[in-house]
Amino acid sequence: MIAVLGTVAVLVALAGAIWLAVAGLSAVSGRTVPSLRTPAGLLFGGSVAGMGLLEVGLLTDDFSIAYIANHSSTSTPLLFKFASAWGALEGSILLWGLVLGLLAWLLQRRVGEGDRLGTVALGVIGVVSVFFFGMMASVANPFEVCTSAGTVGCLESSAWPFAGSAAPGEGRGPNPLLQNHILMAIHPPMLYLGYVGLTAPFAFAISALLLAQPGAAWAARTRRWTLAAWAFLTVGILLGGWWSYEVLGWGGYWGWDPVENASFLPWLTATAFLHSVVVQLRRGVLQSWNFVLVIATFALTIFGTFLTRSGSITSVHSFTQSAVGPLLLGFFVLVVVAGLGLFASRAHLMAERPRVESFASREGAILLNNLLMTVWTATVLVGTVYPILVEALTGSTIGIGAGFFEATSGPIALVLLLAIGVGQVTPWKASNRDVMIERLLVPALIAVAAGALAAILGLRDRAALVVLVLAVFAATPPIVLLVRQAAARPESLGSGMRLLVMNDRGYWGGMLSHLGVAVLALGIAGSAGMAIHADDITLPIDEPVPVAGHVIEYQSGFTDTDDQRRVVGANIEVTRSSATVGTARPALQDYGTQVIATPGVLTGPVRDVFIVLRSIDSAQVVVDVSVFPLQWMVWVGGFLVAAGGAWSFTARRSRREVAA
Amino acid sequence: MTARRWQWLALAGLALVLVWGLVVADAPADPALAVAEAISCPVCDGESVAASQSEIAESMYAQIGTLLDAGYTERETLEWFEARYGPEILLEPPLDVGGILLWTLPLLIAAGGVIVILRLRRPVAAEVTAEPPTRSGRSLLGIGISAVVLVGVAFALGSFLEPRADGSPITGQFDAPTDLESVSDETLALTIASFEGDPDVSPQQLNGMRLALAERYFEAGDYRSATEEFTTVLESEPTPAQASEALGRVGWILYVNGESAAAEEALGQALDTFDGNGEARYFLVLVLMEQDRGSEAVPLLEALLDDPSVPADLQPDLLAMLEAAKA
Repeated sequence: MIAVLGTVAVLVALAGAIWLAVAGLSAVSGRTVPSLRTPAGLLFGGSVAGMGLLEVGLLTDDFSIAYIANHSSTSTPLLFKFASAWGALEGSILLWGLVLGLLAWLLQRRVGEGDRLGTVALGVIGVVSVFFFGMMASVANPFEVCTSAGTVGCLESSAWPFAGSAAPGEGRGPNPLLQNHILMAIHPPMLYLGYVGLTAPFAFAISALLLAQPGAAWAARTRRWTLAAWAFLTVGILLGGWWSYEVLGWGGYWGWDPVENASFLPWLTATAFLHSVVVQLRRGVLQSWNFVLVIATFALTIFGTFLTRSGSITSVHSFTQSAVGPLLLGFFVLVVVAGLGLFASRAHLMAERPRVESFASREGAILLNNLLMTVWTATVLVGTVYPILVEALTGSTIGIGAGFFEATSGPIALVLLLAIGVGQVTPWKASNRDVMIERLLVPALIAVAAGALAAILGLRDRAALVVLVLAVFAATPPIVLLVRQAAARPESLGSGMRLLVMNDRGYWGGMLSHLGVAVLALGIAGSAGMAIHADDITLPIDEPVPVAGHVIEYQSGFTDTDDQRRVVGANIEVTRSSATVGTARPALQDYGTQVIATPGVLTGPVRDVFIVLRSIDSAQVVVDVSVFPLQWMVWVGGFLVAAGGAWSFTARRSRREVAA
Repeated sequence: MTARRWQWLALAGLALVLVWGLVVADAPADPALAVAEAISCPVCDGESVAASQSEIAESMYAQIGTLLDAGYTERETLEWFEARYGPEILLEPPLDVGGILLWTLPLLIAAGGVIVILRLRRPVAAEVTAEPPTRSGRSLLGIGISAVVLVGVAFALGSFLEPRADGSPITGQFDAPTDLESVSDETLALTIASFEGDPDVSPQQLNGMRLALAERYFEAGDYRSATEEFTTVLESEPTPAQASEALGRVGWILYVNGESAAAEEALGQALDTFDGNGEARYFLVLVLMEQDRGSEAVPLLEALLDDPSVPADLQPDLLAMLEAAKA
């Protein structure tokens, strides 16, 4: 029953998408298109029904549906049954479709009759939706019925919903890694909200190109969409890192894995776009560059999905190879070639005057930001695909490890920090020396003082010192500016600051994100640059052992068994300078098919102690111990970056932007 | 002096302190970690030796430390591994034409970007003339990028069409037993050979690897190769558990080859060496049952039923055999 209804829901959404695409795009020829409420409603309604039905099937253990039989089981905890809806390929595409449907529905409410730009943009979203729901109706059908049941799971399945005759008694259950932590239920939807949200600026950009209206209207109308999508993408990437840190036990949160890179690439171009679009809205420059950025951003989201789903890379994120790979690659080619071809055919319409008067200005700083972001994107992109190209060309397999990415990203990030410090308080159009000294002397003083103090206190890590100075320099100018501007107002200092921050949310949201970047940089310099690792430490029971500046003691073991897994872990007391830090509880989780070494993490204001269990018996344990200084700053900094985006999002559109 | 002057003075003074701090800072880099991050673990999916927790990666990490202690430079250590495992072990792009291009690419793009940006500057007002709309420049940009992407995609498609082995949904390396499966027998054999005579790898560690390899031969039915590995294990200071595993399996191979008496003896030795070897006990039961010596199998079966390490799904079979043995 669910299979029949689900298939109908997918087909209804597909029909809505086709209708939306045809009707929306017909406005290009000048035809007046009536409201697109109905097709957008079909698309949204179909996708909601589809996801709802899949959830009902998952929660009721309906193993007659192949997806459910192969990715859930009766003993899966409720939350992870729910999250299994996007735990594997077909379901994750359905989630993508659901977010697209939501986007189409929300956008449609802002598009009135005669609004050609909006109508055609909805048509573009229709085209993207046709692709995703087309995949669900063909090679990635989440509602295929099981036609041949194994003892556990489904062996063969059919897309014809009435073909079903078999339902295994038990399902295979989700991958153990995916039912280990609540973050795994949140990380993918966040990423998808980010990825799919970036469809909005893309759709409006393509619409503007199709209609030969290369003005700033498309950018102004999608600025808040871009902000929201970017904030979600930031949170999604961050949660992925957090999950990796808390669950995987390899001792880190970012490994420059191809799929991590694939989510980082659109984030970089979207960040560049958020900055350069401001230049266009305020100064009319970078018109064509913004088209390139927005097309590149959307193309990179599709490319990232292709990398994850195609099996052409080896990574902890790879799904099993399937026919969606070539389809996604084809769609990527279509986006790039059609998008840039369209851009090329309209390029002669784009006026580039007025140009930049002086590089010593806000727009000059943002140009530097865009240059660095572009170089960074290209470096990470080439580093990610280089092994694939080499293998295709020469047949030899090479790998590019974190070393390459760290060596190239480090300098870029340092220059970016410097550019943030200077750029965020530089006036538009042109600056002069006195203003810059006024705004930067005190921050420079604070930053250098912080570095000098750290050196006197014994910080002997050169890279960490440099990052510290630059991060403080990036963080302080807006604070100094805020205090000075508030002091010049009639209200008290506190309420003056509050008024400033409340009234110009666009600007101060950006400053909050910059503060987040500075905190994040400190966190990375500490946790990655100054980490201490001690591997294979044997701890006899009840015997304190000094390691990595701490004393740790194996006090007792614990076990825990449920339907899914057998957990064996150790209570390890950690003390530092004879003060108790806490009891870490690293464990080995045996899922039968796979053993996951979940670390025990003790988070503190100065450092995290991170213990991974290697082996355990009643007499002793063997552990790997890592100490990550300032680890919490990575999480707090990352969330501040996203929070800044959210704060900017709450700003009402300024009059200037409406006029543009 | 004005406040501004004091600020400049303070800045200069503090900057001097900072420069002192930077000069005296010692780079606390861990050379072993740096090398381990630049070498890929041979049995993992794209993980470095530093990140992997597999046994091979652990012993390679130990080997890096030994070489560095022996006075090898980081570069020489990398070359040592490259000579034994081939260039694909290196995670840093090799310095061939493509590799050099890769390393210089960020600089090239940055230089190109600077040139483009410098041209954005407004010329002196008097020189501003109406530029006729032109297609050429930016059209070429669009076409150029499209062409580059198309070529890239063609290569990606090429590599995609050579499918990799299907794996579980997630093919990461989180526990040694799983990732060993992704390695060919030859690689595993070579890896073991590269550790022979290595003072940092104990014979017992080597035996562990040999048993893993032998198990594959054993399960694939290549009893000759399996026997060779088991014999080597028995000759190289095995732990009781290792010796017992090897003896038990050799016993089974003998039995399959029709030498029941020798098989029985080997299996008996296996149990004498390590009483917890449920597998050998199970093999012995099968040997005895085959010869209708049920009464001798009964105590063994009872021991197996009490053994928590015996898989639960074997229980019904064991119970049935116990019935038969008693009858």
